[in-house]
Amino acid sequence: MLRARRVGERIATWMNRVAGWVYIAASVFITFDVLARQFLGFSSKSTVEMTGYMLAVGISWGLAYALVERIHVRIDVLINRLPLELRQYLHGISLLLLTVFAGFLAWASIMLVRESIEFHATDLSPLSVPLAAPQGLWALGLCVFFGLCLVTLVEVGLLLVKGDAAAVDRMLGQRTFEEETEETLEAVASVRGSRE
Amino acid sequence: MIAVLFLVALLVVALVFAAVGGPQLPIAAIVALCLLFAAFFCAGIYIAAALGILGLLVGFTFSDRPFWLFLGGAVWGPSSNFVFVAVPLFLLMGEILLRAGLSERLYRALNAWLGPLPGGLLHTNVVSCGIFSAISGSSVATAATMGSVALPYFANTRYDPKVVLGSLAAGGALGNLIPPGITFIVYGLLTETSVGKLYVAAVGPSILVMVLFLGVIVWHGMRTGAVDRGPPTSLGAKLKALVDLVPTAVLILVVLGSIYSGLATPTEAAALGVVGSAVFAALDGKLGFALLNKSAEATARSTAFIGLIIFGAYILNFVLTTLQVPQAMAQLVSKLPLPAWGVMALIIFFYLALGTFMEGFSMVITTIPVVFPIVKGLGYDPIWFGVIVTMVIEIAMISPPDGTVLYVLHGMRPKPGPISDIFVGVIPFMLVYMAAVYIVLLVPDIALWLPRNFGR
Repeated sequence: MLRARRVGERIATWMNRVAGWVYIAASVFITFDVLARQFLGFSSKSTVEMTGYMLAVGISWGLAYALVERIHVRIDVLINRLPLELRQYLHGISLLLLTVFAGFLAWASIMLVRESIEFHATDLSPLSVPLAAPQGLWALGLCVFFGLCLVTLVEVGLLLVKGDAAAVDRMLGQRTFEEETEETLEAVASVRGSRE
Repeated sequence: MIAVLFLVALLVVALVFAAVGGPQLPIAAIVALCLLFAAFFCAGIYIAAALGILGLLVGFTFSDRPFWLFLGGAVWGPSSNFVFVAVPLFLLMGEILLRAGLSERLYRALNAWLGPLPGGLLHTNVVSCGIFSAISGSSVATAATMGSVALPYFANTRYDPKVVLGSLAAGGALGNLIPPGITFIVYGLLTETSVGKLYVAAVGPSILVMVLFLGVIVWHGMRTGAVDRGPPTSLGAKLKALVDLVPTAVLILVVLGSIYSGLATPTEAAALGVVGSAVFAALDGKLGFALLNKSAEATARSTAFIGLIIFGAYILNFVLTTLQVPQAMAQLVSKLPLPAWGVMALIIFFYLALGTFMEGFSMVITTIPVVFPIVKGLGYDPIWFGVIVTMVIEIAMISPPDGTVLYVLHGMRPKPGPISDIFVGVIPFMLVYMAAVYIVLLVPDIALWLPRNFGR
């Protein structure tokens, strides 16, 4: 495993964790706002905008980790029936296209941030948040995702040259139902274990 | 798989057929696009990348405007949309509940009430899956969780394993139909339909499907005599069981109650649900950093994969809309020598076929931007169509031989057996589910009466 990719995976794991906690924060924020509106008669009046930004950051910061965990969706009924020699190249092509797409997203997001800075764009909430701030964090997530795609692509390329098809399959093959089931059961069991 | 190819071919033929006498349209381009799409999917390309890159290719080929300058904004829109915030929040709520050990108590409590009916534990399977999925949102997670709780109850009983597994799978397929399902949020986001109204509309069909499922079990119970019937429970035990239902009932009341009463939007209700489930986990002494952290990580991961597909879909959608393709498609289909219900039947079969190998969210996000203008052009109600699409996707989730839920359950069987057991067991449930779709097609008011009279 390339050292660069190991570092990338560690960054991705941390960013995903932050993304998850951002969602928890968003739930608390919205709940507070709803309760305050109902019972105390006031509201921050910027929940819609703020939690929207939280979502944007949450999605983009989770993208790289989803790649590490092989959870980005592919239709794999056909390729799973192909022989490994052929499948490894399809894995490679898929990743190449994903990298191109991620690269485009990263570029488009940076352009958007530059535009927002140029026009001093702010939102319409009472806080008038400069849009460049949440968009910048969003763009950062997309750039990290692109970076990890690139590093993974390099490693897959090296493995393909070396002829290690099994390693490519392990790295890019989509998660199976078995893995999914196992994880869910683990989550249920972890709790049951702690009670006893 | 053969059926899939046949249906896709049928659709292409229908398009070409219509084009012969139809208006001037880039039919060759559309067909080429479909073929490219199919090739991408067959090659196992990431769905999001396939959508996004197709969008770029189409744009560079057909558009004479600098469309790429607007794509950053086109992607930022949905990713900061307040409606979409409900998706991670409902996922988070499900993840917390999964770890809060609610499932086992739910099953035990329901069993005290439903066990003595003809069909016994099987009713408990369907109802507990239905209730759990109402708060969890993912069919696979529901089947896995409830399966792990339910299957031990059936060890050393004379229940037919086929029906046991079939009823669990069927219960899992209620997940996204019973509010608050996540499919409705994604549908609402893509079509700019009110998610609250969709939730109201789903009530009638949910009850219909549930009743039909229980009917199947009663019929099975009658046929096998008194074998599949639990011992009668005393009233005291029943009342005691109610205590175990309290957390679930309160959560459902908070989430659905706040939406239906108009006190909160679906996103706000989801946030209340997250906090509520955390409170119940805390009351049980289970809330800790580990639980929250694991739930948060799982939520972020799932939201990221849904988000990336949405990015791809919005890019493709933006390009297609600037080229007026959806409008052209809608116009084209309305000129087909087919009645509206014929087109609707084609669409439903198309979804059923697609669903055998495609995951639910991906399917909605990929197809709705194109299919929705057609359906609207034919004069169908957007809310009603949202309910139909969700039902059809749920059927696809449990249709052999590719339904994901079936394999999850198969992997959990305590006593090994052939996968065909599950296939045979789930078929009666699938058939009545299809019957339910047919009934809602014939009587749209099952879905639409409530939102018309009580929707805001």
